[in-house]
Amino acid sequence: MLDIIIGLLMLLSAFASLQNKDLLKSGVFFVVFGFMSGLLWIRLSAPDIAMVEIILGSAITSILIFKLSKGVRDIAVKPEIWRKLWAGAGSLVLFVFLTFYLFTVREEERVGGLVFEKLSLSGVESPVTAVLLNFRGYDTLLEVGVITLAAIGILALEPKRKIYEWNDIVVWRFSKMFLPIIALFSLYITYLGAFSVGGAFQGGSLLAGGLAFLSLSGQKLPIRENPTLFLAMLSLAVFVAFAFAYALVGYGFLTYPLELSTLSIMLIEISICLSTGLLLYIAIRGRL
Amino acid sequence: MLIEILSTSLILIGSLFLLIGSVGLIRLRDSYSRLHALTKADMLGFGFVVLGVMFSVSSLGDALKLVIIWVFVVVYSSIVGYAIANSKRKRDA
Repeated sequence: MLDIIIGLLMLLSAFASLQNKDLLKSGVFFVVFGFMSGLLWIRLSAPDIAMVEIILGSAITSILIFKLSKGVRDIAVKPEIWRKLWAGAGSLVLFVFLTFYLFTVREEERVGGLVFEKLSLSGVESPVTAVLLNFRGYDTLLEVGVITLAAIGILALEPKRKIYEWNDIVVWRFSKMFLPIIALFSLYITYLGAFSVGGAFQGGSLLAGGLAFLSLSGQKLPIRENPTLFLAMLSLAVFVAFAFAYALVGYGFLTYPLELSTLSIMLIEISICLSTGLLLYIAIRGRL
Repeated sequence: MLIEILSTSLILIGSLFLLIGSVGLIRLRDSYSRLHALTKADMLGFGFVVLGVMFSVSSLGDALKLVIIWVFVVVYSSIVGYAIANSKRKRDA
């Protein structure tokens, strides 16, 4: 019952976001949509994804949307009818396929059982982290590469825009006061990823939230530009370095030796946490 | 049993306050009174919900975590309320 209500609200907010003429209201409904999908992930007992979805989908994205929509005036975005039809048909095919799969797949054929079977070989106790950084580490490496590239693109384009600021002494002081606590908590979440709910992307987006608060109140990080860039690119470097090092020693690309796997996964996770936070900070601020 | 009743009724009281706050957000006239309704009722309602949930957790650590969450929400909601009101005041002036 609750799931149906949340799903209906999600559909409703998606529709409202797409159909609204006003860009700002459209953004607000998009934020509601992100929050609802976060709730739905919790109902599906996937708190890892719910955390990322709520932080990124409804907090960070909303800042980016409102920052971008500030300069834009009344651009009527009207996609052609064939494009709508094309998207609808694609979604329908995917929906039918997934429903069909859901009702025909047998319990023992699901991938989850395999993950739990091999969990002891991964070096971490949390199945989500094991899949992200060990079994399917290649995907995560490419994801890190994609967000790094996106931040480089924003850095190349953005310095012409004015920094979006909010001169207010209370917000200014509090963002400064809370940043250490948020940073500590994000590292804790990252560390928690090894054996429970949490992980690098969760911690990183939390750190990005704190940094976004700092950047919105018109301050910048008290470190110089080059170290910021270095820290933002750190995760890609660490990830690739680990992958190639183990490949050269003879284990294979992104295959960790069993004794070192916990240590390597933790190092990669911490670097991803720092870099995700700083990359999103760069995306929000538009410069280093 | 008694604890369950206590916890459920506290959560219900909290939800009632949240509902009143939301109604105030929709029904009141201008930004200031809307903000007034929202921040006060939200804080109280959330406090009651946290208090209710606190009775149903098993360990002291979880209860302490809930208290920390409540403190953070109270601080952030007051900052946000102040910031919205102040930007409204600046825009009007």
